[in-house]
Amino acid sequence: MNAVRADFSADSIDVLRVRADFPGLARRINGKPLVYFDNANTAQKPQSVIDAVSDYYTEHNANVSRAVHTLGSEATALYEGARDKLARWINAGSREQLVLTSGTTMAINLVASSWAQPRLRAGDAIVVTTMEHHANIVPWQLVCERTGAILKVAPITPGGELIIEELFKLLTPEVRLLALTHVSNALGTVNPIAMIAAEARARGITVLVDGSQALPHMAVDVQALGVDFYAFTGHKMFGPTGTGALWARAGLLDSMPPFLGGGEMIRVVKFSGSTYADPPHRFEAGTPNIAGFIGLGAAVDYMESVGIAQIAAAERELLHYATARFLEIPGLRILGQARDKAAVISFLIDGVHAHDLATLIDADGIAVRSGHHCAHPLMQFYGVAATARASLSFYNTTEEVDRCVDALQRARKMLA
Amino acid sequence: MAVAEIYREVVLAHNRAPQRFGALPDATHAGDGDNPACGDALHVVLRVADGRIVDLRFSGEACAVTIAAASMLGELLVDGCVETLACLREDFGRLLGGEPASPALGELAALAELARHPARHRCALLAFEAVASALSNPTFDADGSATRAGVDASGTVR
Repeated sequence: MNAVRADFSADSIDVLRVRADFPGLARRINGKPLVYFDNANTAQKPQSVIDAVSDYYTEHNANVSRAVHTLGSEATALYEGARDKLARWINAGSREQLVLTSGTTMAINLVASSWAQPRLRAGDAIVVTTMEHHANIVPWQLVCERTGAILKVAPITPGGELIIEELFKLLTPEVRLLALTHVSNALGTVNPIAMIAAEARARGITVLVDGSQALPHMAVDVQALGVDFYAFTGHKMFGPTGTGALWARAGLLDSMPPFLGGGEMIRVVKFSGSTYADPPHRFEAGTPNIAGFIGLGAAVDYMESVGIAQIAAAERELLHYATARFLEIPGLRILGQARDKAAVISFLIDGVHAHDLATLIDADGIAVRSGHHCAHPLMQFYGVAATARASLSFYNTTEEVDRCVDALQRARKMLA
Repeated sequence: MAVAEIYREVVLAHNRAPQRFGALPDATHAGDGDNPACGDALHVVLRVADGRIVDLRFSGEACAVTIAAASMLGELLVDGCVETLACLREDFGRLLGGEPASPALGELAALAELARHPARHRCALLAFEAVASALSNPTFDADGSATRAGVDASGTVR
Protein backbone atom coordinates (compact mmCIF):
# COMPACT_ATOMS: atom_id res chain seq x y z
CA MET A 1 0.00 0.00 0.00
CA ASN A 2 2.83 2.41 0.74
CA ALA A 3 5.03 1.35 -2.15
CA VAL A 4 5.19 4.89 -3.46
CA ARG A 5 6.88 6.63 -0.56
CA ALA A 6 7.85 10.25 -0.81
CA ASP A 7 11.58 10.73 -0.38
CA PHE A 8 12.20 14.12 1.15
CA SER A 9 15.78 15.30 0.81
CA ALA A 10 17.92 16.31 3.76
CA ASP A 11 17.50 20.05 3.38
CA SER A 12 13.76 19.88 2.77
CA ILE A 13 11.04 20.96 5.12
CA ASP A 14 10.75 19.44 8.58
CA VAL A 15 7.03 18.78 8.20
CA LEU A 16 6.38 18.00 11.85
CA ARG A 17 8.01 21.26 12.90
CA VAL A 18 6.07 23.36 10.41
CA ARG A 19 2.81 21.67 11.34
CA ALA A 20 3.37 22.78 14.92
CA ASP A 21 3.39 26.37 13.61
CA PHE A 22 -0.24 26.03 12.46
CA PRO A 23 -2.65 25.74 15.40
CA GLY A 24 -5.59 24.99 13.10
CA LEU A 25 -4.00 21.70 12.09
CA ALA A 26 -4.41 20.37 15.62
CA ARG A 27 -8.21 20.32 15.34
CA ARG A 28 -10.06 17.06 15.67
CA ILE A 29 -13.08 16.55 13.42
CA ASN A 30 -15.65 13.92 14.36
CA GLY A 31 -13.11 12.53 16.81
CA LYS A 32 -10.37 12.18 14.19
CA PRO A 33 -7.33 14.38 13.53
CA LEU A 34 -8.11 16.93 10.83
CA VAL A 35 -6.72 16.22 7.38
CA TYR A 36 -6.98 19.63 5.77
CA PHE A 37 -6.93 19.10 2.01
CA ASP A 38 -8.86 22.24 1.08
CA ASN A 39 -5.98 24.71 0.81
CA ALA A 40 -7.06 26.06 -2.56
CA ASN A 41 -10.19 27.27 -0.80
CA THR A 42 -8.27 28.91 2.03
CA ALA A 43 -5.00 28.14 3.80
CA GLN A 44 -4.41 27.55 7.50
CA LYS A 45 -2.62 30.39 9.31
CA PRO A 46 0.64 30.17 11.24
CA GLN A 47 0.57 31.36 14.85
CA SER A 48 2.77 34.31 13.88
CA VAL A 49 0.04 35.61 11.57
CA ILE A 50 -2.64 35.15 14.21
CA ASP A 51 -0.39 36.92 16.73
CA ALA A 52 0.28 39.82 14.36
CA VAL A 53 -3.45 40.42 13.95
CA SER A 54 -4.05 40.10 17.66
CA ASP A 55 -1.09 42.35 18.53
CA TYR A 56 -2.42 45.08 16.29
CA TYR A 57 -5.75 45.07 18.10
CA THR A 58 -4.10 44.83 21.53
CA GLU A 59 -1.15 47.17 21.18
CA HIS A 60 -1.39 49.31 18.06
CA ASN A 61 -5.06 49.75 17.33
CA ALA A 62 -5.59 53.02 15.54
CA ASN A 63 -6.59 54.09 12.07
CA VAL A 64 -3.91 54.52 9.46
CA SER A 65 -2.81 57.76 7.81
CA ARG A 66 -5.41 59.77 9.67
CA ALA A 67 -3.78 60.80 12.91
CA VAL A 68 -0.52 62.31 14.10
CA HIS A 69 -0.57 60.58 17.48
CA THR A 70 1.80 57.78 18.40
CA LEU A 71 -0.71 54.98 18.05
CA GLY A 72 -1.71 56.17 14.59
CA SER A 73 1.92 56.38 13.51
CA GLU A 74 2.60 52.85 14.77
CA ALA A 75 -0.45 51.46 12.95
CA THR A 76 0.51 53.25 9.75
CA ALA A 77 4.10 52.04 9.92
CA LEU A 78 2.94 48.44 10.40
CA TYR A 79 0.36 48.65 7.62
CA GLU A 80 2.61 50.35 5.08
CA GLY A 81 5.40 48.06 6.19
CA ALA A 82 3.22 45.15 5.11
CA ARG A 83 2.78 46.76 1.71
CA ASP A 84 6.56 46.97 1.41
CA LYS A 85 6.94 43.29 2.33
CA LEU A 86 4.39 42.27 -0.29
CA ALA A 87 5.99 44.50 -2.91
CA ARG A 88 9.40 42.94 -2.26
CA TRP A 89 7.94 39.43 -2.23
CA ILE A 90 6.62 39.73 -5.76
CA ASN A 91 9.42 42.02 -7.05
CA ALA A 92 6.92 44.80 -7.68
CA GLY A 93 9.53 47.41 -8.52
CA SER A 94 8.02 50.09 -6.33
CA ARG A 95 5.41 50.25 -3.58
CA GLU A 96 3.36 52.71 -5.66
CA GLN A 97 2.61 49.89 -8.09
CA LEU A 98 0.88 47.75 -5.47
CA VAL A 99 -2.76 48.56 -4.63
CA LEU A 100 -4.02 46.78 -1.51
CA THR A 101 -7.51 45.32 -2.01
CA SER A 102 -9.92 42.96 -0.27
CA GLY A 103 -8.75 40.14 -2.50
CA THR A 104 -8.32 38.98 -6.07
CA THR A 105 -11.96 39.55 -6.92
CA MET A 106 -11.80 43.21 -5.96
CA ALA A 107 -8.46 43.62 -7.73
CA ILE A 108 -9.89 42.29 -10.99
CA ASN A 109 -13.03 44.40 -10.64
CA LEU A 110 -10.78 47.42 -10.11
CA VAL A 111 -9.07 46.80 -13.46
CA ALA A 112 -12.42 46.15 -15.11
CA SER A 113 -13.84 49.40 -13.81
CA SER A 114 -10.87 51.74 -14.00
CA TRP A 115 -8.85 50.39 -16.88
CA ALA A 116 -11.16 48.44 -19.17
CA GLN A 117 -14.42 50.31 -19.00
CA PRO A 118 -13.04 53.75 -19.95
CA ARG A 119 -11.10 52.24 -22.86
CA LEU A 120 -13.15 49.51 -24.49
CA ARG A 121 -15.65 50.21 -27.27
CA ALA A 122 -18.16 48.15 -29.18
CA GLY A 123 -16.22 45.81 -31.45
CA ASP A 124 -13.30 45.43 -29.04
CA ALA A 125 -12.67 42.04 -27.48
CA ILE A 126 -11.46 40.53 -24.22
CA VAL A 127 -9.97 37.05 -24.19
CA VAL A 128 -10.28 34.74 -21.18
CA THR A 129 -9.70 30.98 -20.93
CA THR A 130 -11.94 27.97 -20.33
CA MET A 131 -10.26 27.27 -17.01
CA GLU A 132 -10.92 30.63 -15.34
CA HIS A 133 -12.46 31.12 -11.91
CA HIS A 134 -15.66 33.15 -11.98
CA ALA A 135 -13.75 36.14 -10.58
CA ASN A 136 -11.81 36.29 -13.85
CA ILE A 137 -14.88 35.86 -16.05
CA VAL A 138 -17.80 37.80 -14.60
CA PRO A 139 -16.12 41.22 -14.27
CA TRP A 140 -15.24 41.00 -17.97
CA GLN A 141 -18.79 40.00 -18.87
CA LEU A 142 -19.98 43.11 -17.04
CA VAL A 143 -17.48 45.23 -19.01
CA CYS A 144 -18.75 43.71 -22.26
CA GLU A 145 -22.37 44.38 -21.32
CA ARG A 146 -21.54 48.00 -20.54
CA THR A 147 -19.24 48.75 -23.47
CA GLY A 148 -20.45 46.50 -26.27
CA ALA A 149 -17.15 44.62 -26.34
CA ILE A 150 -17.20 40.85 -26.78
CA LEU A 151 -15.70 37.99 -24.79
CA LYS A 152 -13.66 35.30 -26.51
CA VAL A 153 -12.63 32.07 -24.78
CA ALA A 154 -9.32 30.26 -25.29
CA PRO A 155 -9.77 26.47 -25.37
CA ILE A 156 -8.02 23.81 -23.32
CA THR A 157 -7.10 20.17 -23.92
CA PRO A 158 -8.90 17.36 -22.10
CA GLY A 159 -5.75 17.21 -19.96
CA GLY A 160 -6.46 20.75 -18.81
CA GLU A 161 -3.73 22.64 -20.64
CA LEU A 162 -4.16 25.75 -22.77
CA ILE A 163 -3.92 25.08 -26.51
CA ILE A 164 -1.34 27.77 -27.17
CA GLU A 165 -1.77 27.88 -30.96
CA GLU A 166 -5.54 28.35 -30.55
CA LEU A 167 -5.00 31.00 -27.89
CA PHE A 168 -2.68 32.96 -30.15
CA LYS A 169 -5.18 32.70 -33.04
CA LEU A 170 -7.67 34.50 -30.81
CA LEU A 171 -5.31 37.41 -30.19
CA THR A 172 -6.48 39.44 -33.18
CA PRO A 173 -6.24 43.25 -33.58
CA GLU A 174 -9.57 44.01 -31.86
CA VAL A 175 -8.45 42.24 -28.66
CA ARG A 176 -7.59 44.82 -25.99
CA LEU A 177 -7.11 42.54 -22.97
CA LEU A 178 -6.09 38.98 -22.20
CA ALA A 179 -7.13 37.83 -18.72
CA LEU A 180 -5.90 34.45 -17.57
CA THR A 181 -5.04 32.47 -14.49
CA HIS A 182 -1.49 31.67 -13.44
CA VAL A 183 -2.57 28.43 -11.72
CA SER A 184 -6.01 26.85 -12.17
CA ASN A 185 -7.84 26.42 -8.87
CA ALA A 186 -9.88 23.51 -10.19
CA LEU A 187 -7.20 21.64 -12.15
CA GLY A 188 -3.87 22.78 -10.76
CA THR A 189 -2.58 23.59 -14.24
CA VAL A 190 0.29 26.10 -14.24
CA ASN A 191 0.12 28.30 -17.33
CA PRO A 192 3.30 29.53 -19.09
CA ILE A 193 2.58 33.16 -18.31
CA ALA A 194 5.88 34.73 -19.40
CA MET A 195 5.71 33.13 -22.83
CA ILE A 196 2.05 34.01 -23.35
CA ALA A 197 2.45 37.57 -22.07
CA ALA A 198 5.39 38.21 -24.38
CA GLU A 199 3.30 37.24 -27.41
CA ALA A 200 0.21 39.14 -26.27
CA ARG A 201 2.11 42.32 -25.48
CA ALA A 202 3.96 42.13 -28.80
CA ARG A 203 0.48 42.35 -30.36
CA GLY A 204 -0.39 45.39 -28.28
CA ILE A 205 -2.65 43.49 -25.89
CA THR A 206 -2.77 44.24 -22.17
CA VAL A 207 -2.35 41.17 -19.97
CA LEU A 208 -3.96 40.57 -16.58
CA VAL A 209 -3.09 37.50 -14.54
CA ASP A 210 -5.04 35.95 -11.66
CA GLY A 211 -2.30 34.81 -9.30
CA SER A 212 -4.52 33.60 -6.43
CA GLN A 213 -3.32 29.98 -6.60
CA ALA A 214 0.27 30.78 -7.58
CA LEU A 215 1.57 32.81 -4.64
CA PRO A 216 0.97 30.11 -2.01
CA HIS A 217 3.04 27.60 -3.96
CA MET A 218 5.80 29.21 -6.01
CA ALA A 219 8.06 32.20 -6.39
CA VAL A 220 6.36 34.95 -8.39
CA ASP A 221 8.35 37.76 -10.02
CA VAL A 222 5.77 40.02 -11.64
CA GLN A 223 8.34 42.03 -13.56
CA ALA A 224 9.98 38.90 -14.96
CA LEU A 225 6.56 37.57 -16.01
CA GLY A 226 6.17 40.64 -18.19
CA VAL A 227 2.47 41.15 -17.51
CA ASP A 228 0.54 44.38 -17.07
CA PHE A 229 -1.65 43.50 -14.09
CA TYR A 230 -1.22 40.76 -11.50
CA ALA A 231 -4.00 40.17 -8.96
CA PHE A 232 -3.69 37.99 -5.89
CA THR A 233 -5.27 37.20 -2.55
CA GLY A 234 -3.90 36.94 0.97
CA HIS A 235 -6.00 34.24 2.60
CA LYS A 236 -4.71 31.50 0.30
CA MET A 237 -1.12 32.42 1.12
CA PHE A 238 -1.49 31.86 4.87
CA GLY A 239 -2.72 35.39 5.55
CA PRO A 240 -6.05 36.66 6.85
CA THR A 241 -9.21 36.83 4.76
CA GLY A 242 -10.17 40.20 3.32
CA THR A 243 -6.68 40.92 1.98
CA GLY A 244 -5.17 40.95 -1.47
CA ALA A 245 -3.54 43.21 -3.99
CA LEU A 246 -3.33 44.39 -7.55
CA TRP A 247 0.13 44.94 -9.00
CA ALA A 248 0.41 47.06 -12.14
CA ARG A 249 3.21 47.78 -14.54
CA ALA A 250 4.87 51.16 -13.93
CA GLY A 251 2.78 54.04 -15.25
CA LEU A 252 -0.46 52.07 -15.73
CA LEU A 253 -2.15 53.10 -12.50
CA ASP A 254 -1.35 56.76 -13.19
CA SER A 255 -3.57 56.60 -16.26
CA MET A 256 -6.53 55.11 -14.41
CA PRO A 257 -9.40 57.00 -12.76
CA PRO A 258 -10.50 56.08 -9.23
CA PHE A 259 -12.46 52.88 -8.57
CA LEU A 260 -14.22 53.53 -5.27
CA GLY A 261 -14.61 57.04 -3.92
CA GLY A 262 -14.28 58.15 -0.34
CA GLY A 263 -11.65 58.95 2.23
CA GLU A 264 -7.98 58.21 1.69
CA MET A 265 -8.14 58.26 -2.11
CA ILE A 266 -8.51 62.03 -2.34
CA ARG A 267 -6.15 64.94 -2.32
CA VAL A 268 -8.63 67.81 -1.79
CA VAL A 269 -12.42 67.62 -1.61
CA LYS A 270 -14.54 70.62 -2.63
CA PHE A 271 -18.17 70.63 -3.58
CA SER A 272 -17.11 72.22 -6.83
CA GLY A 273 -14.95 69.19 -7.55
CA SER A 274 -12.42 66.95 -5.86
CA THR A 275 -8.90 65.91 -6.74
CA TYR A 276 -7.50 62.47 -6.20
CA ALA A 277 -4.45 60.97 -4.59
CA ASP A 278 -1.61 59.37 -6.50
CA PRO A 279 -1.52 55.60 -6.86
CA PRO A 280 -1.68 53.34 -4.98
CA HIS A 281 -3.84 55.25 -2.51
CA ARG A 282 -6.02 56.60 -5.31
CA PHE A 283 -7.51 53.09 -5.44
CA GLU A 284 -7.75 52.51 -1.70
CA ALA A 285 -10.88 54.26 -0.49
CA GLY A 286 -11.98 53.97 3.11
CA THR A 287 -10.36 52.40 6.12
CA PRO A 288 -8.53 49.28 4.95
CA ASN A 289 -8.38 45.89 6.62
CA ILE A 290 -5.45 47.13 8.70
CA ALA A 291 -5.19 44.08 10.94
CA GLY A 292 -5.54 41.80 7.93
CA PHE A 293 -2.62 43.33 6.05
CA ILE A 294 -0.38 43.38 9.10
CA GLY A 295 -1.20 39.67 9.33
CA LEU A 296 -0.44 39.21 5.63
CA GLY A 297 2.94 40.84 6.13
CA ALA A 298 3.60 38.27 8.83
CA ALA A 299 2.53 35.54 6.38
CA VAL A 300 5.15 36.76 3.91
CA ASP A 301 7.73 36.68 6.69
CA TYR A 302 6.69 33.12 7.50
CA MET A 303 6.90 31.91 3.90
CA GLU A 304 10.30 33.54 3.64
CA SER A 305 11.48 31.73 6.78
CA VAL A 306 10.39 28.35 5.41
CA GLY A 307 11.67 29.15 1.92
CA ILE A 308 9.48 29.29 -1.17
CA ALA A 309 11.78 26.86 -2.99
CA GLN A 310 11.41 24.40 -0.12
CA ILE A 311 7.64 24.87 -0.14
CA ALA A 312 7.47 24.19 -3.88
CA ALA A 313 9.70 21.11 -3.58
CA ALA A 314 7.68 19.63 -0.75
CA GLU A 315 4.45 20.10 -2.66
CA ARG A 316 5.91 18.52 -5.80
CA GLU A 317 6.76 15.40 -3.81
CA LEU A 318 3.31 15.34 -2.19
CA LEU A 319 1.54 15.74 -5.52
CA HIS A 320 3.54 12.87 -7.02
CA TYR A 321 2.75 10.62 -4.05
CA ALA A 322 -0.91 11.59 -3.80
CA THR A 323 -1.54 11.18 -7.53
CA ALA A 324 -0.13 7.66 -7.52
CA ARG A 325 -2.12 6.66 -4.43
CA PHE A 326 -5.39 8.20 -5.65
CA LEU A 327 -5.08 6.33 -8.95
CA GLU A 328 -5.07 3.03 -7.01
CA ILE A 329 -8.76 3.58 -6.28
CA PRO A 330 -10.96 1.70 -8.76
CA GLY A 331 -13.11 4.00 -10.88
CA LEU A 332 -11.24 7.16 -9.86
CA ARG A 333 -10.26 9.58 -12.58
CA ILE A 334 -8.32 12.79 -12.19
CA LEU A 335 -9.40 15.88 -14.10
CA GLY A 336 -6.42 18.00 -15.01
CA GLN A 337 -3.22 16.16 -15.75
CA ALA A 338 -1.09 19.04 -16.97
CA ARG A 339 2.63 18.43 -17.18
CA ASP A 340 3.18 21.47 -15.01
CA LYS A 341 0.69 21.59 -12.17
CA ALA A 342 0.30 22.64 -8.56
CA ALA A 343 -0.64 20.17 -5.82
CA VAL A 344 -4.32 20.07 -6.71
CA ILE A 345 -6.14 16.84 -7.49
CA SER A 346 -9.64 17.27 -8.89
CA PHE A 347 -11.26 13.86 -9.19
CA LEU A 348 -14.37 11.80 -9.69
CA ILE A 349 -15.17 8.23 -8.68
CA ASP A 350 -17.52 6.34 -10.99
CA GLY A 351 -21.02 6.07 -9.66
CA VAL A 352 -20.36 8.32 -6.67
CA HIS A 353 -21.36 11.95 -6.48
CA ALA A 354 -18.70 14.35 -5.28
CA HIS A 355 -20.88 15.72 -2.48
CA ASP A 356 -21.50 12.28 -1.06
CA LEU A 357 -17.76 11.54 -1.20
CA ALA A 358 -16.86 14.74 0.57
CA THR A 359 -19.53 14.26 3.26
CA LEU A 360 -18.47 10.68 3.96
CA ILE A 361 -14.75 11.35 4.23
CA ASP A 362 -15.53 14.33 6.46
CA ALA A 363 -16.64 11.70 8.97
CA ASP A 364 -12.98 10.63 9.04
CA GLY A 365 -11.80 14.20 9.56
CA ILE A 366 -10.84 14.78 5.93
CA ALA A 367 -11.68 18.15 4.36
CA VAL A 368 -11.90 18.39 0.59
CA ARG A 369 -14.05 20.65 -1.54
CA SER A 370 -16.84 19.26 -3.68
CA GLY A 371 -18.75 21.19 -6.27
CA HIS A 372 -17.96 23.36 -9.23
CA HIS A 373 -15.09 25.27 -7.60
CA CYS A 374 -16.40 28.60 -8.91
CA ALA A 375 -15.67 27.39 -12.43
CA HIS A 376 -19.00 26.54 -14.06
CA PRO A 377 -17.66 26.80 -17.64
CA LEU A 378 -14.80 24.44 -16.82
CA MET A 379 -17.17 21.87 -15.34
CA GLN A 380 -19.33 22.20 -18.43
CA PHE A 381 -16.26 21.59 -20.61
CA TYR A 382 -15.66 18.32 -18.81
CA GLY A 383 -19.35 17.46 -18.89
CA VAL A 384 -19.53 17.04 -15.13
CA ALA A 385 -21.74 18.76 -12.59
CA ALA A 386 -19.15 18.67 -9.84
CA THR A 387 -15.85 17.15 -8.79
CA ALA A 388 -14.13 16.53 -5.48
CA ARG A 389 -10.89 18.43 -5.06
CA ALA A 390 -7.99 17.68 -2.75
CA SER A 391 -5.63 20.68 -2.67
CA LEU A 392 -2.43 20.20 -0.74
CA SER A 393 0.02 22.49 0.97
CA PHE A 394 3.53 22.06 2.29
CA TYR A 395 2.22 21.25 5.77
CA ASN A 396 0.32 18.18 4.54
CA THR A 397 1.91 14.73 4.84
CA THR A 398 2.01 11.42 3.04
CA GLU A 399 0.31 9.84 6.06
CA GLU A 400 -2.60 12.21 5.51
CA VAL A 401 -2.75 11.14 1.88
CA ASP A 402 -2.89 7.50 3.04
CA ARG A 403 -5.77 8.28 5.40
CA CYS A 404 -7.62 10.09 2.63
CA VAL A 405 -7.21 7.18 0.23
CA ASP A 406 -8.48 4.72 2.85
CA ALA A 407 -11.51 6.91 3.49
CA LEU A 408 -12.22 7.26 -0.22
CA GLN A 409 -12.08 3.47 -0.61
CA ARG A 410 -14.61 3.06 2.20
CA ALA A 411 -16.89 5.73 0.73
CA ARG A 412 -16.72 4.14 -2.69
CA LYS A 413 -17.68 0.74 -1.31
CA MET A 414 -20.61 2.22 0.55
CA LEU A 415 -22.04 4.23 -2.33
CA ALA A 416 -21.05 2.64 -5.63
CA MET B 1 -20.82 7.70 13.30
CA ALA B 2 -23.04 10.70 12.63
CA VAL B 3 -22.25 11.22 8.95
CA ALA B 4 -22.76 7.58 8.05
CA GLU B 5 -26.22 7.99 9.58
CA ILE B 6 -27.15 10.07 6.54
CA TYR B 7 -26.32 7.12 4.35
CA ARG B 8 -28.48 4.58 6.08
CA GLU B 9 -29.36 1.44 4.18
CA VAL B 10 -32.80 2.74 3.13
CA VAL B 11 -31.20 5.89 1.69
CA LEU B 12 -28.54 3.88 -0.14
CA ALA B 13 -31.20 1.51 -1.47
CA HIS B 14 -33.23 4.37 -2.92
CA ASN B 15 -30.05 5.85 -4.43
CA ARG B 16 -29.06 2.54 -6.06
CA ALA B 17 -32.56 1.82 -7.40
CA PRO B 18 -34.50 5.07 -7.37
CA GLN B 19 -38.25 4.71 -7.72
CA ARG B 20 -40.10 6.48 -10.53
CA PHE B 21 -37.07 7.66 -12.45
CA GLY B 22 -37.38 7.97 -16.20
CA ALA B 23 -39.81 9.28 -18.78
CA LEU B 24 -43.58 9.72 -18.56
CA PRO B 25 -45.84 9.65 -21.58
CA ASP B 26 -48.80 12.03 -21.47
CA ALA B 27 -47.17 14.25 -18.89
CA THR B 28 -49.22 17.33 -18.12
CA HIS B 29 -46.65 19.26 -16.08
CA ALA B 30 -42.87 19.58 -16.13
CA GLY B 31 -40.46 21.35 -13.87
CA ASP B 32 -36.90 21.57 -12.66
CA GLY B 33 -34.94 22.04 -9.54
CA ASP B 34 -31.29 22.82 -9.60
CA ASN B 35 -28.56 23.72 -7.19
CA PRO B 36 -25.85 25.61 -9.07
CA ALA B 37 -23.73 25.54 -5.94
CA CYS B 38 -23.12 21.81 -6.38
CA GLY B 39 -24.36 21.07 -9.89
CA ASP B 40 -27.26 18.86 -8.88
CA ALA B 41 -30.24 19.06 -11.22
CA LEU B 42 -33.58 17.29 -11.20
CA HIS B 43 -36.25 17.29 -13.87
CA VAL B 44 -39.77 16.24 -12.93
CA VAL B 45 -42.74 15.37 -15.10
CA LEU B 46 -46.22 14.86 -13.69
CA ARG B 47 -49.55 13.62 -14.93
CA VAL B 48 -52.19 15.52 -13.05
CA ALA B 49 -55.93 14.94 -13.31
CA ASP B 50 -58.78 16.25 -11.19
CA GLY B 51 -56.40 17.80 -8.73
CA ARG B 52 -54.48 14.57 -8.12
CA ILE B 53 -50.95 13.59 -9.11
CA VAL B 54 -51.72 10.45 -11.06
CA ASP B 55 -48.10 9.67 -11.88
CA LEU B 56 -44.67 11.29 -11.79
CA ARG B 57 -41.14 10.65 -12.94
CA PHE B 58 -37.81 12.19 -11.98
CA SER B 59 -34.65 12.36 -14.03
CA GLY B 60 -31.31 14.06 -13.63
CA GLU B 61 -27.88 13.85 -12.08
CA ALA B 62 -27.53 14.45 -8.42
CA CYS B 63 -25.97 13.26 -5.20
CA ALA B 64 -27.26 10.29 -3.23
CA VAL B 65 -29.22 12.48 -0.84
CA THR B 66 -31.08 14.24 -3.65
CA ILE B 67 -31.80 11.03 -5.55
CA ALA B 68 -32.99 9.19 -2.46
CA ALA B 69 -35.19 12.10 -1.37
CA ALA B 70 -36.73 12.33 -4.84
CA SER B 71 -37.39 8.59 -4.89
CA MET B 72 -38.99 8.65 -1.46
CA LEU B 73 -41.01 11.79 -2.19
CA GLY B 74 -42.32 10.35 -5.42
CA GLU B 75 -43.72 7.36 -3.56
CA LEU B 76 -45.60 9.67 -1.20
CA LEU B 77 -47.01 11.96 -3.89
CA VAL B 78 -48.39 9.49 -6.38
CA ASP B 79 -52.17 9.08 -6.11
CA GLY B 80 -52.30 11.98 -3.69
CA CYS B 81 -53.82 15.39 -4.16
CA VAL B 82 -51.60 18.22 -5.35
CA GLU B 83 -51.80 19.93 -1.98
CA THR B 84 -49.87 17.05 -0.40
CA LEU B 85 -46.56 18.51 -1.57
CA ALA B 86 -46.92 21.63 0.54
CA CYS B 87 -47.81 19.60 3.65
CA LEU B 88 -44.89 17.25 3.15
CA ARG B 89 -42.57 20.18 2.55
CA GLU B 90 -43.60 21.69 5.86
CA ASP B 91 -43.16 18.41 7.70
CA PHE B 92 -39.77 17.87 6.09
CA GLY B 93 -38.69 21.37 7.02
CA ARG B 94 -39.43 20.51 10.64
CA LEU B 95 -37.43 17.30 10.33
CA LEU B 96 -34.48 19.31 8.99
CA GLY B 97 -34.90 21.60 11.97
CA GLY B 98 -34.32 18.66 14.30
CA GLU B 99 -37.93 17.86 15.21
CA PRO B 100 -39.25 14.32 15.29
CA ALA B 101 -40.52 12.91 11.98
CA SER B 102 -44.22 13.14 11.26
CA PRO B 103 -45.70 9.78 10.14
CA ALA B 104 -46.74 11.41 6.85
CA LEU B 105 -43.05 11.59 5.85
CA GLY B 106 -42.80 7.84 5.40
CA GLU B 107 -39.27 6.82 4.39
CA LEU B 108 -38.17 10.47 4.20
CA ALA B 109 -37.77 10.16 7.96
CA ALA B 110 -34.56 8.25 7.22
CA LEU B 111 -32.99 11.62 6.34
CA ALA B 112 -33.38 12.94 9.89
CA GLU B 113 -29.60 13.06 10.37
CA LEU B 114 -29.52 15.95 7.90
CA ALA B 115 -30.67 18.16 10.77
CA ARG B 116 -27.00 18.12 11.82
CA HIS B 117 -25.71 18.85 8.31
CA PRO B 118 -27.18 22.15 7.09
CA ALA B 119 -24.83 22.14 4.08
CA ARG B 120 -26.82 19.19 2.68
CA HIS B 121 -30.35 20.55 3.28
CA ARG B 122 -30.55 21.99 -0.21
CA CYS B 123 -29.80 18.52 -1.61
CA ALA B 124 -32.82 16.95 0.05
CA LEU B 125 -35.08 19.91 -0.68
CA LEU B 126 -34.28 19.87 -4.38
CA ALA B 127 -36.91 17.19 -5.03
CA PHE B 128 -39.59 19.31 -3.38
CA GLU B 129 -38.49 22.34 -5.43
CA ALA B 130 -38.61 20.37 -8.64
CA VAL B 131 -42.14 19.09 -8.02
CA ALA B 132 -43.31 22.56 -6.99
CA SER B 133 -41.82 23.93 -10.19
CA ALA B 134 -43.65 21.27 -12.17
CA LEU B 135 -46.99 21.99 -10.51
CA SER B 136 -46.75 25.61 -11.59
CA ASN B 137 -45.68 24.70 -15.13
CA PRO B 138 -48.36 22.96 -17.10
CA THR B 139 -47.05 21.73 -20.41
CA PHE B 140 -48.75 22.98 -23.53
CA ASP B 141 -49.91 21.10 -26.61
CA ALA B 142 -48.09 21.71 -29.86
CA ASP B 143 -50.80 24.11 -31.03
CA GLY B 144 -50.20 26.27 -27.96
CA SER B 145 -53.52 25.46 -26.31
CA ALA B 146 -53.63 24.98 -22.59
CA THR B 147 -52.85 21.76 -20.88
CA ARG B 148 -55.18 18.87 -20.45
CA ALA B 149 -54.80 19.32 -16.73
CA GLY B 150 -57.13 22.28 -16.94
CA VAL B 151 -55.48 25.18 -15.21
CA ASP B 152 -58.16 27.68 -14.36
CA ALA B 153 -57.97 31.44 -14.70
CA SER B 154 -56.36 31.86 -11.30
CA GLY B 155 -53.62 29.46 -12.27
CA THR B 156 -54.90 26.77 -9.95
CA VAL B 157 -54.26 23.23 -11.09
CA ARG B 158 -57.61 21.41 -11.41
